Amino acid sequence: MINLSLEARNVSRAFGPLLAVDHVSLSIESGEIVVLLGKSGSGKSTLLRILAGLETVDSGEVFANGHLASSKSKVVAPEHRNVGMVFQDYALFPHLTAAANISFGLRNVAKSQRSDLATAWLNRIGLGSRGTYFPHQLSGGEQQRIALARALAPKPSVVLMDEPFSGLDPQLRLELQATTLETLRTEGVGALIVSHDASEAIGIADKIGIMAGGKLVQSGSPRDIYNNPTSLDVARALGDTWAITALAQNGVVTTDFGRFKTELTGPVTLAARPEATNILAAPNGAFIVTRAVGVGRFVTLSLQSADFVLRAQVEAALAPPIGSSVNVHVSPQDVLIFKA
Amino acid sequence: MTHTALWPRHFKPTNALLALTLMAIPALPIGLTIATAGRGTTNFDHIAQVLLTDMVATTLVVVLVSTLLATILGTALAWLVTAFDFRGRAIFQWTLALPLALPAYVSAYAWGDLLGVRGLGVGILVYVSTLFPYIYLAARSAFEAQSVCALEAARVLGAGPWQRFWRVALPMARPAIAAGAALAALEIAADYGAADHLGITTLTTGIFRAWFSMGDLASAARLSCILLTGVLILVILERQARTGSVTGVSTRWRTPVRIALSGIGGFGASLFCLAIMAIGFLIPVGHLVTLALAFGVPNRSFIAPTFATAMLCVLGALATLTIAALGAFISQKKGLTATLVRTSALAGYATPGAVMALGVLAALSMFGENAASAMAGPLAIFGLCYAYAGRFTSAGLEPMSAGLEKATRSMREAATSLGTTPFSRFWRLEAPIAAPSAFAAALLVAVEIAKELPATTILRPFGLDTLAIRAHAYAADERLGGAAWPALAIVALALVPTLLFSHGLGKSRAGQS
Repeated sequence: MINLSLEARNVSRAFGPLLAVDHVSLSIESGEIVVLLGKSGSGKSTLLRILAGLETVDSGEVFANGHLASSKSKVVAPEHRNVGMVFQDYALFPHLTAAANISFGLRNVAKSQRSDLATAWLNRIGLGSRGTYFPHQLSGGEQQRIALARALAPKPSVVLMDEPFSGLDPQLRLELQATTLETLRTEGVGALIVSHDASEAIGIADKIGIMAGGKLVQSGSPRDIYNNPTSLDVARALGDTWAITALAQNGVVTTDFGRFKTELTGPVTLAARPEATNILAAPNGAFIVTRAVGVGRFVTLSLQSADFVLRAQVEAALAPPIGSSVNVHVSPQDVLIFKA
Repeated sequence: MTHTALWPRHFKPTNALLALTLMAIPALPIGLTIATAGRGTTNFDHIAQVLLTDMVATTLVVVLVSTLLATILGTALAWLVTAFDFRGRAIFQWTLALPLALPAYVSAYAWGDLLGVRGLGVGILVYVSTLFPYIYLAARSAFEAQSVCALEAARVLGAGPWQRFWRVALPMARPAIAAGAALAALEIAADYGAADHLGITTLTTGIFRAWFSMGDLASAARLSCILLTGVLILVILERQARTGSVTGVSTRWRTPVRIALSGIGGFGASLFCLAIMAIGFLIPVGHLVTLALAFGVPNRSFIAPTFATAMLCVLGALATLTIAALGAFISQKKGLTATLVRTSALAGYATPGAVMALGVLAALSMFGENAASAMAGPLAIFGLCYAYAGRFTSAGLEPMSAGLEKATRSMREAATSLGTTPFSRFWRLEAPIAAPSAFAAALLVAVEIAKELPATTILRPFGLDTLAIRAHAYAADERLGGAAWPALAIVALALVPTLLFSHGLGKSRAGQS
């Protein structure tokens, strides 16, 4: 089997003085779901458009299925890349029915088969009865599914999705994430999904790429990035993280709640996630509970010491009252230490 | 598929060439008119001494007074139907635009005959009552598009209805009102038919006298230059009024709650709207219908002009729309090309028909010594279509650009990512999406051509009478029964787009589905 893939090698793109994408390398293998996570303006949408061929590169290369697709001197036009795309606003064609939208890209299929294929897709996405509807007659969720079917119908090697779930309410969002994921898996097609939602990324990605300031700061499996982030920003991109400044001496950082080994020396940032932060009620503890946030089974407590504030997530039933003093315990494997 | 770097990536030589050609279409005749003004002539001394002061003063008075009154009337009516509710409001809301279907000269025939007097006063009545809808429509859509939040915020801050109008609604609508007023003023400055019929000596009628009575192209061109200067000042004033324009602040919309007027207030509002409708449309049209019925169908003077008008509409609209479509296509991306194409189209639209026609005449006269002898057959038709295209490209360009914009960037990119080439994309995506707009553009341009009098009068081949020319000739001979038929035919044609757009406007509101 041919390995269908899309790969960016060291690509850069500037808009005037703004370096939107800065020497980024990233690959999407067939069947792999990659989520590109970052704040708005971090360059993730530009990278997506470069991979699609909608944007040119200043340096670096893009390879599609092993062939050069973009470089400074050569650009294979988007229409010849066999890359699918789902847009944030879906970009359904308003003058065409749902079925006609889906069959729009089926140029390599005999005319007689196109409507059959469109019908098959409509059935697969559970919209078999909506083929003759126009986009404005469909709900947001239905439009999203049509847009996905339209992108997948021509059998692209990779599908690129720009914030495909952002315009939907939370319940629908989870449903569509699940159906999209299922459709992508059965098709075996690789996908690059741009998102700014960490829980979405963790929920659907095989691989996450974190972008900030045009750079791909870290990429790897969700578990890997969650547990071994290379910077505080990356840690925070995937979930709530508290951080304090401390001093590393002789391979050890000493804090109110323990001593932690490190290879760094000098000022460091020591961080951990609230769910990895444990508390023990102690009359003369170093921390005082100042705040409790949350209404479910867990609450997040703010813990004030002489110098700083930590956060700990505890079971609501076991949470000490506000004003009580506690000690903090964090396992060494849950502590993240970065150069300050 | 591979881009070879003969020139910078975004520079397309074919587009640049096209843009230059499109810009030259209105620029050439304007330039030739200005050049012709430099030719020697002896008549102009006479015109300058005897007539010029009067012409300029009258033109200024007519344009300023009529535009001011039309602006006040149009804005007041727009606020009345947006902010208040009264008996008949839903109908008045769109019927108040109907006078737009009445060319000023047609209204002038009716009112001149009804009142039995002519002159400046009747002229102002005619201009105000037929042209206020430009301001009314612009102001109404501006008022309706305004965020209810802004008006409610003003209310919470203690502003009464009157203050909300003066301090919030009116300043926010100012750019739209200025644009509407500028259109009305340009229309008045360029008018030939009404001024000629009512015996008002304006610069435009002066241009006609210089050309038709004296056969003096240079004098006509000199008067044209004075008129063009006035038009230029008008356009600059309109741009000034636009600066600091307030665009949509809130994307949340609600239908504004209209204040119900009952009793004497409601009755007064209904009566006011009805009176304006009557003066602007019902009375003149009614009078012409009475005259037409009394006169009987004039077979000789109706069928042939109808065909002539239809032919010019089709040929002129074809020429205009081809240019407008090319302009819209190459100016899809915002940038220098788009700005230049749009500005030149607008410059053509602002140029009075008489001036544009003189320019074409000057161009034709370069081929032969005697300009008039060139005015025969196909060459004259070509010249006319050129003048129409020069003047009305803007009327076609705006709706076509708006139509193309409905195919958004992501739609175009989606089509591209699905494997379409630019050419096939145009036929499968942009063309079908823009088709209704192209139809609207064709309708608008055809109606403009059917109503057009000055350029057609100057450039038409000998013996080719359009409805407008027939009506004007009959009216000049005081045979109003004969003028009524072609005049009413023009009104009937012009009613089609007026009704379509005026009725549609009330239904479409940003942010509401």
